[in-house]
Amino acid sequence: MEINTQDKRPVSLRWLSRGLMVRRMIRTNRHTGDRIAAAILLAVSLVLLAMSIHYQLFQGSAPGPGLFPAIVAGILVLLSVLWLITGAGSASKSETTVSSAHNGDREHPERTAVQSLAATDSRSSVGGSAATDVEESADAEMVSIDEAGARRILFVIGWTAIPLVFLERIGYLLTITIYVGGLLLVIARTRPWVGLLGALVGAALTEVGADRLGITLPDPLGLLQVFGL
Amino acid sequence: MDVFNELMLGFSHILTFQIILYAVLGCALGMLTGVLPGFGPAAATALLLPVAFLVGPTASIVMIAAIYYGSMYGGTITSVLLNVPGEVSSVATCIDGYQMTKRGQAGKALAIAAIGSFVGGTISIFAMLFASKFASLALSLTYLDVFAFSLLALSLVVMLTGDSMIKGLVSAALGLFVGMVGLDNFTGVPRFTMGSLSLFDGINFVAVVMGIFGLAEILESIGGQRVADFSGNIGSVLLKWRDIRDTLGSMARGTVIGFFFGLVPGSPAAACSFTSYAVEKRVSKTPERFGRGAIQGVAGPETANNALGISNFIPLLTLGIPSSATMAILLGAFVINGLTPGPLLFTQHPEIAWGFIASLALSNVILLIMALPLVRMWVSVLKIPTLTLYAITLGFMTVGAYTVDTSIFNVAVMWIAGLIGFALRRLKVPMAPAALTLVLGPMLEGNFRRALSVNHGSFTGLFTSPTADIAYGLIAAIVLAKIFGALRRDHVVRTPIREQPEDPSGTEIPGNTAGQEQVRGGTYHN
Repeated sequence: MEINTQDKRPVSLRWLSRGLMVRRMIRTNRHTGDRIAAAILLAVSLVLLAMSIHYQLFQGSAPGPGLFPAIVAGILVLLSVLWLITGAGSASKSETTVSSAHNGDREHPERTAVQSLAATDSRSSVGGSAATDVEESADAEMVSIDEAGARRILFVIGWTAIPLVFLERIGYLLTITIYVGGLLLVIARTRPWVGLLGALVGAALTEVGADRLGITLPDPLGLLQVFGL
Repeated sequence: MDVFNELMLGFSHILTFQIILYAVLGCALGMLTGVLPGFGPAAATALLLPVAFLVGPTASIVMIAAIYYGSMYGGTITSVLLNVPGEVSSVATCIDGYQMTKRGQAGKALAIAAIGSFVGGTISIFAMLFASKFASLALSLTYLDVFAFSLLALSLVVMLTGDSMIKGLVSAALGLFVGMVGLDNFTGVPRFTMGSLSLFDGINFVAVVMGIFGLAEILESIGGQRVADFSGNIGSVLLKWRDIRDTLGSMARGTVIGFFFGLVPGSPAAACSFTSYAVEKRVSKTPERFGRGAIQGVAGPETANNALGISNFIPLLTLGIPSSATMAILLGAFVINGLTPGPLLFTQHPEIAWGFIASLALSNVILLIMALPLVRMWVSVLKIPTLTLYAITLGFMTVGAYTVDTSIFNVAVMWIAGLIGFALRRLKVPMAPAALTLVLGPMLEGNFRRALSVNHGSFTGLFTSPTADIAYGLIAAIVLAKIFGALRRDHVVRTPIREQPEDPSGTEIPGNTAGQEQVRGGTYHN
């Protein structure tokens, strides 16, 4: 942070005012998603805290099975309250970071990368570890999801019921053919015969391969034997 | 010479036809998964964990090391050809690598990346051999010291990843809770099982990491419709002597930078590769070529990346403390195979410990051999529509999760973890701390309870070791540094971007000249 040499106030006052400014800024950048998540987390952590206390905190002078979870749950309660209040500093500050290489300047992604390098370059000489800012957006590398994307995700989630319900009932071959075939048709928009045939061949090959490796995949209908595999 | 004798012991343990075959297969699978746009080593290793468990302890550890290596290079391929980094550490490679692709020199960029990775990896393995001798020093650490060092490693990871400290801590706490589900190791009391017998043995680590890393990534990619296609020409992969000569210094510097960055738990890989890039640019006599396809801009960061990837293993192998999400996944792989990385591994299972180090060297060679001749094959994978690849991958993941212990329950666990992981990613909650606590949780809790038991339930028992006290002091210093750093950075963020110089070093941004040259490389749409 550059020190304003024009500011004649005492250092402590300058820091205080900076702290207040930052807090104001954070408040204005709160995300609804963050608040909802923090509220859910708060509820979950309170339940976990109650359960942990129920497991006994101490057994005589020795720590009980509930002590460590209770401490972690307590910390989680505190964190969720902080998240709720502050929005966890989730202000979108990724404009100048690498994640925007995916979202921002599509035509010139290298520009964004060079900008982040420039930011890194200039600050690393001062702070030494300023380059960590680049990493900070690593985990949360974001891709914007539009309505069609959301529909695709919902389909994938719903379609997962197929293996969950049928894998052990009708076996691997049919289930995975239907599951992957459906994904290929709806998500990847392949031609029906290509998608279904490809899924069938792939499922058959992997089942035979797994069988040769000694891995038993569910086959309650005995389809492998029916096809002489 | 002891070190080399022990390394030879390791080689003798792994140099069998079968294990070499698994290493080759691991490298190939790693590259294949790493080529999937957006997939980094953590996601690739998590996805392929079930495959590795099919082949027995030694082979599985060799295969996982090979998968790790392969996926790192797979990420480089997409960085160079498509400007899509598999992980954030590859962003530095994108800058000049993609520019080289635009000029029809993709083959050269990929070749120097492979050679740089080999050089960085090999030198770091030699350095690691000597560092491994320090594992015996770690034997003198008490359980309290191990507890404190684990907390220190965790603090570093929490502080150095993610946008916010609060979210990093939330991630760590959630990982701890997932690790606590099941029967309590001390008393046998079922905790957080909701009465389900399937949860008595705990939540399966493989299913969880497949969900939070692999599945969450796929859902995000499907939603964002990351469509990547490469229709350009990669050109020749053969390097001229001049290219080698020009990059020798970059590789040497990249190795040193990467090795030392990797020793610090939680050390950001991106900082390492960008530091290497910045150093290359500064020492170059022609810094203006950087950002326009300078081969040193690829060689330095790639070498640094691989050197970091190897030295990251040092805290894991000497102290048993993972320093990143990928290392946590690898630690999980060891634990599932009944092995505990750390000082005892070298004394109790020297053949495994040294075999693992030898397998890193083996994978390094295999990667170099496979990377260049097969580069066109990996490029052809990029011609398959991405959504088709994801659909097939989802099928494989379902089978993978099922085969972990032949249970549909694990498929459900993987999906639940994946959905939670996806939601947390959208909220910018980092996943690396969760991966670490998921693995370290039981050890942390065990040591914590032991310290309290010895001191009759008093929390002062945690502060009876001077070594541990130093670690606590460092944790406090890190937290304070993070808080002050956040205050400083928030001030910088408030400064409008237009007021900041575009590039203080005076390098023109190559995007500004785009349009003047014919784009022959890959494209990336959203």
